[in-house]
Amino acid sequence: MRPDEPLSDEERTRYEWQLRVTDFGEAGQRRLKGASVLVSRCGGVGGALAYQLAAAGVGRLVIAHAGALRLDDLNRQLLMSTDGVGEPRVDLAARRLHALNPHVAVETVAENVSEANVERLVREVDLVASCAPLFAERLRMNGEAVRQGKPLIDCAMYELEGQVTTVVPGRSPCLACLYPSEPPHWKRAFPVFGAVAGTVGCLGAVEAIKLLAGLGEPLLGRLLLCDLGDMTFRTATFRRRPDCPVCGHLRG
Amino acid sequence: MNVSIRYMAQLKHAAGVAREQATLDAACSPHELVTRRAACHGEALHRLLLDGAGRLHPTILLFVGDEQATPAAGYLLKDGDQITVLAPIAGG
Repeated sequence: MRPDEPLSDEERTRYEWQLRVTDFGEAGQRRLKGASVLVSRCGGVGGALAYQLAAAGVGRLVIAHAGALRLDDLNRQLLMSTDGVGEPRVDLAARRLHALNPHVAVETVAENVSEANVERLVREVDLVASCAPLFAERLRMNGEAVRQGKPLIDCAMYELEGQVTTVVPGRSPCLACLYPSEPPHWKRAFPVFGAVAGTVGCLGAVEAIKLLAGLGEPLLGRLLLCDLGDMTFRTATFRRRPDCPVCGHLRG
Repeated sequence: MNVSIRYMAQLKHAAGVAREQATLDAACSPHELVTRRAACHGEALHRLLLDGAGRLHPTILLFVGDEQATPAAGYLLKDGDQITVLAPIAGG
């Protein structure tokens, strides 16, 4: 993080409404400006999360997502547009994010997070936002984030439900404490409304802003459970597994 | 004693109900109860909840009230407990 980045007059005007947030102010805005976030996938969840972080003025976003936009992505992937079908998703996402806030540096990686790139991608950022539709990718990012001591926000959804939790290595359980192995029955194709995915992405963005700016109480050891079917929100606590192969060796 | 069970996400559809009540004749752990309930709702729930040996799959999360219940904690259910059964989700 580079918290000593000064703000321009244009930035003070752009962020004027959030500079009024208690305990945030110009110091918080400078922390966001000096921060970098890896967003794994720019789909329904990750796209909403990235959009909010760009609006809030996070200085650098690294967006990792393979493949080209398909028509059936467009019910939820709001960084995209209909005339972009067939183009790389990350290019479309970067264009939209830049149009929203040209102060944000957007780096695109036209690959999903893999064993081959995870060490480099996590090393380049201050925080990881995990919004991938596969557990292998989520657990891979969790493992590397813990290894490098970087915070990670895990955002997931299914149909009308969402879950968010935050991992700060040494201070909280990690994703592998919740899921010690790759769940066998998760299917890549899941039911999704864009409004639900976007809600979960926005919740994850709030967690990222809190962590980066030092606001509020992040979801450490707590799993936010949202059921938008009946509009209930609750947090359930969970603990580190002493035998967790990822974070069990850490103190705290 | 009576306890309630809430199934989340895919489990809700597999069970065919979002919530149900269970009456227990004797104290048991949340894991024992949910393992027994897996047999009451057909193959789909059975397959999601249990492994090949008939044990609750380690990625199935149970919460009693707002706290995670792990097998190691040895918690025994009390009258009025509310159990949430969570299958892993990863939609992004």
